[in-house]
Amino acid sequence: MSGGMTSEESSFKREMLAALPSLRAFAMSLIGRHDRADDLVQDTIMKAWAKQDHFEMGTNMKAWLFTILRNELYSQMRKRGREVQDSDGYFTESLAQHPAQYGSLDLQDFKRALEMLPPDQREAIILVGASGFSYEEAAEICGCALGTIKSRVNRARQRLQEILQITGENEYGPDATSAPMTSRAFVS
Amino acid sequence: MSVRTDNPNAQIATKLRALYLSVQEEAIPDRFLDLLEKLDAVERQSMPDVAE
Repeated sequence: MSGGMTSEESSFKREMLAALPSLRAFAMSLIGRHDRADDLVQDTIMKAWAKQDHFEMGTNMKAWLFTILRNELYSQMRKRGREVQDSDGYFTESLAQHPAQYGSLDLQDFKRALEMLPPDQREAIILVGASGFSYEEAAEICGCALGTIKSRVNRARQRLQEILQITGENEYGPDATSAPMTSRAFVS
Repeated sequence: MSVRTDNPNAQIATKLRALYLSVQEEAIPDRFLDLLEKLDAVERQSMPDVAE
């Protein structure tokens, strides 16, 4: 308004910069690999920049960018001929590539569990549980009904609980040699 | 031995946020700062006649 064209542009850039850390975190949680996630963020920046005329200053830049990123991801996956449901090939390399990326083993287990979710459930729980969006905003970003988002988040939670319990039991695997000794020591 | 007594949803929420924050707290990579600079510069160059 009073600032004129130039200051409006730089504030577009400024707002975009402010949203970038969260946008990267969103991409990374969806994809599980830093290199691919950052490529997707870059594509999103280009797309968003090209259509900045469609963005109304003062509205939620973060939600707008998240919507673009999400649409871009799914359209790229379609182009590559990958089923959206098929999370396997897309995510498997992630832990091998960045084994030390996350502080604790605990978080790596969680990351693995997150990658086992169907993409629609994964994005729902990330948007609501980590990105700080309301259910309403998440529904808008995903282009679906409010009830759909709620049920996806619920299913994601249930599924994560199931997976993490299974993972927890498997933790005894590598310790197979010491565990029997320990228990014997306690029993006898 | 375990903390399983905690609300499992709360545990999941905590881990999800920790994972997310681990990326969000990273510095913005230079490639994005450079990219935005370039996009902005290109725009400024092609913008002198905005009247239309």
